[in-house]
Amino acid sequence: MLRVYCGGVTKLSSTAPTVRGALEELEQRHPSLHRNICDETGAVRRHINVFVNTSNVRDGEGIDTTLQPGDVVTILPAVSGG
Amino acid sequence: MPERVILSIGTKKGQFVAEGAKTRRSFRAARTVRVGVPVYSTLIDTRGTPRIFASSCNPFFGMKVLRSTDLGKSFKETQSAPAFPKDDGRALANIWSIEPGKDKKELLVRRRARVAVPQPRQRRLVGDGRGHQQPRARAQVAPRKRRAVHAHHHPRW
Repeated sequence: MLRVYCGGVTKLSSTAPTVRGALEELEQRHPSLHRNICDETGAVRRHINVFVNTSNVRDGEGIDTTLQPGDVVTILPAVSGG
Repeated sequence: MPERVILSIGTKKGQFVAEGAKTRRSFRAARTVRVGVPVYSTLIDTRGTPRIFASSCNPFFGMKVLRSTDLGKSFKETQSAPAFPKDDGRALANIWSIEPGKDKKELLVRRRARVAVPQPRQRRLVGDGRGHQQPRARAQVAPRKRRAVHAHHHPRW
């Protein structure tokens, strides 16, 4: 659902040292994609999950989670229904 | 007298556009757009070339304004959406109504704000790591303050 906002690509690269930095880069490069992930306060939307490798950043330092070279950041919308 | 009547319907289940004859005796749901996304407000804007606007209030991906220039055959998101200034501290929680503004492009948006509150820290599990573990109660968080705000929005198409 988010790919339409970044030209259909599935992977983007970043050299940012933190998740916050990566999201800021995203805001510059793909503002409409960023708007789907974060609200205007910069917070990640409630139903969007951001993982660094296999860890949800909400379970750690949030978007201030540091990134190491080679880390994979996955943006995964929650799936719900009834 | 118009040849046909267009009805734009916003529902919690999505946006529908219906069409009827000028007698208005019956309408046929002609097109369905964005099923599953609540649309709290829709506007048929007759200033100049008719356009249909709809507020797409997606709890997952945020608030957007959709625009149709072909009477509902297709909708596109406007390039910009109503939002609070970055340093304001509030986030848009809903778009309750869209109304025509003063000039041809302006939309009046009635919106609801959500005040950001600190998120509780990670829930910790109690116990010795063996057997059944119960999560501790969630951290106390101040209730969200909600209020409606009127704003002028100049969307970029």
